[in-house]
Amino acid sequence: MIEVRNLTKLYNGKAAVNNISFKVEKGEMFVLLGTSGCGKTTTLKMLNRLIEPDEGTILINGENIKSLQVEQLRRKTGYVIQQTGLFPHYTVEENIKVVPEMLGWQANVMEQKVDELMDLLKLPSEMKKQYPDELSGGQRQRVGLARALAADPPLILLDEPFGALDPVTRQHLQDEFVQLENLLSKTMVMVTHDVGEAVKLADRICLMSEGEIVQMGTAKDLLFNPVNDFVKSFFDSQRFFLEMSVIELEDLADVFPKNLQINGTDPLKFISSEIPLLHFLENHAEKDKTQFAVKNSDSHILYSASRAEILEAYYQKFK
Amino acid sequence: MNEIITFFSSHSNEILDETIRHVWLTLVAIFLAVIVGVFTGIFLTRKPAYSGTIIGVVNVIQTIPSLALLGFLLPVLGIGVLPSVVALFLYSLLPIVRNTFAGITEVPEAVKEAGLGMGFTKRQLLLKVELPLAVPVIFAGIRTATVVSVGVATLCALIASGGLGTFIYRGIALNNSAMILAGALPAALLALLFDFVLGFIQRNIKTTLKPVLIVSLILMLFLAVNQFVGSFSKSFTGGFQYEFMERKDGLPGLLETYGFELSTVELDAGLMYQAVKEGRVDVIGGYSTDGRIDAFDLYVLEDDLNYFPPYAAAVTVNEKTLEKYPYLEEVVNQLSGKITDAEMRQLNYQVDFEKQDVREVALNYLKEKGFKVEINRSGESDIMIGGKIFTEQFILAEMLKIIIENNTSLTVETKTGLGGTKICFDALKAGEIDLYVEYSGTGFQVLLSPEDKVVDELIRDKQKVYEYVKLHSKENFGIEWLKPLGFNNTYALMMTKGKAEKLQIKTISDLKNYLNE
Repeated sequence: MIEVRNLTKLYNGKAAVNNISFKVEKGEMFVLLGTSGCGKTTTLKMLNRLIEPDEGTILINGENIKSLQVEQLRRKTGYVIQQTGLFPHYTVEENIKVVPEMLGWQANVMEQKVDELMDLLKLPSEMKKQYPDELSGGQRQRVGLARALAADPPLILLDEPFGALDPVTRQHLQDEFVQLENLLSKTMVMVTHDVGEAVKLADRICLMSEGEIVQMGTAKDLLFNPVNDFVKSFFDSQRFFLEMSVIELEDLADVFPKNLQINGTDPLKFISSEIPLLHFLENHAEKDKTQFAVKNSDSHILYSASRAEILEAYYQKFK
Repeated sequence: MNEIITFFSSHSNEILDETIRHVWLTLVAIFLAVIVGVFTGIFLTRKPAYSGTIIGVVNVIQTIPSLALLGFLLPVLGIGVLPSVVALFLYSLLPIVRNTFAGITEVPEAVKEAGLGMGFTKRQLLLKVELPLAVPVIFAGIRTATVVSVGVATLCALIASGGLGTFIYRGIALNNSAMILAGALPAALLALLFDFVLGFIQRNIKTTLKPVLIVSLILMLFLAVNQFVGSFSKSFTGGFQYEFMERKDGLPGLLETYGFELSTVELDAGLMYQAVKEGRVDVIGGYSTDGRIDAFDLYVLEDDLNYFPPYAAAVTVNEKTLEKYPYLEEVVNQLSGKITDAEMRQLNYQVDFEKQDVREVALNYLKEKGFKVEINRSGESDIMIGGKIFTEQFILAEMLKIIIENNTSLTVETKTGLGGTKICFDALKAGEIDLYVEYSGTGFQVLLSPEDKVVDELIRDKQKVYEYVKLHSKENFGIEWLKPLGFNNTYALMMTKGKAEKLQIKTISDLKNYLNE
């Protein structure tokens, strides 16, 4: 879907982005992660040409974006930024309709789309006529998301979309975001400095520092196979929590004996192997004596163990 | 209060006319300034490198005093509506340019970026995001400009464009408060009204912008046509000060006495001389000893029917001073009959235009006439000489000091710049000053104000007026008039020498014959 080759952007002779290359697959959520000033936002803005690169090429669906008319490119690309990006003089409805209007959609089609999106993003329909400054931060961010989705673009760019929200609202919105069906088929590139957010939302993370890519891969890759100390230390502050949230029960299968042993006295419960360890531990009390039979998507039971044994297995394997 | 109501009701048509003219002037200027100012402001946001220079220039224009700006425009654009609109336009630019620039610049970066990121073109971003968000700031600028313009437009009456200033300046000249209010009150109300209307337009900009633009355009066209048609009817025009046009013993009486008609415009005293020099008007009414007559090469038409009252300059002295120093009369009378109109004009010219020192000018003149001038005393004074607040009086007071000090042992102090006639004369009566130069016509009409019958009988006779004044001043106030100095500082009609020669006009009767042909 996106192919970035040898991209460089200079500011006053200094490289803000230095010769980076990456690919983003169709339908993938690709997260540019790093501290401020690492070049992640510059990279994102080069994807819709808000910033023009000094060197390198960007291909979207095999087409060099330089050869496209810049407004056409942007209208086909959703763009979400922090809540301040809403037009303060437009109502919620007018904000959402911006791109469809530019594309010349019919009025009734636009109406329908607005209703659909507001419904999807849990915005009450009486909010249509309200202005952004009458909304809460979370509501504004929902409107921003609806606006980016309005013309149904195949590619969406997100620049710290949850950055200005309080932790509770952020968490809530992230959880909803993961589950939005409309987004499943979209290719998305998101910028964040929040490692938790990156791990939670990304299919792949691209960790940047000083304009260069340090490591690119799944959250698991970065957590368990860091290429250097920088990558390792980047996640250290929340390591336990992050690891538990990426490890699925399936990943612990090799710790347990292959032949199944079921202790007949304790209650037995079947559970999916794709559940993250964190969820599992959160959802079951410490004293729980239940035996969990972990079965994969083919309904094969991989192993069975109690909560305590599973936690023990994690320590055994990863510490 | 009653006076005001009477004036308003008796002049209601005139007030309405001038108000409409005032609105015109302001609206046209503001309309142009909005168009040019908003575009300039937008241009500056695209090329911020120029913003310092352009806003600087506009700023400088704003600091030029209004009357000076009108003076600068006069040689290029003449008098009347055009230079007035241009001046108002120039004054209105700054707040509009600056606010447009600031308004657009202050739109949050994130909003602009969101707009571009959505796929707005630069133009769409401007029209849909930047301008709408800048509207409150831009309108604040327009409102400021409008209120300022309504005020400055009153000044435009000084260059013959009419408007409410007409009443204000006439009222000031005639010391008529009701008349001043007839200009000032509607002007203040207009400013409030404009501000209200603009506020309304701002709040309803989406629905009102188009109609407002269309109506303004029609108004502009109408005015342009008006101006165009007006430019064909150029005839022989006189430019006069308010006071002269309004007073019975001014222009109305002149036209009646000589029997002719003249199209006129009202002009500020200072700009009047410039206007005739530049050929914007053909004849003006000025003062016969004004330095500008020489400076601008003007020709004073002879008043062959003796219409203008005689204003022979003479020294007035408090009789108590004369009792104390009886020889003073003879000393001062050495100067009597010595100074001609042309000489006085030349002296005024030297001070006003060659910027020579007043004392130097007085000294040189007296030296040339063979007077002794060496002595110059200072310290405790025996004699105090007064003077009104214009150049001629400064020069004369200095001359008197030189003559008295060189021919007596008295020390003289001058106290010039005493405002108007009334102040000087009261000071003389009270003995605060001992003498000053007054004019016979002023003494006759302002100080003694005899009955109309007496005025009509005497006014055309220079000698009789002087004798009347001399006699009655002594009887009524104890003030002695010494012998006239020789020159006559009166109203006079004047044209450029070139035009007077070309049209062979030497007297006011010649002018009448020329115009009645």
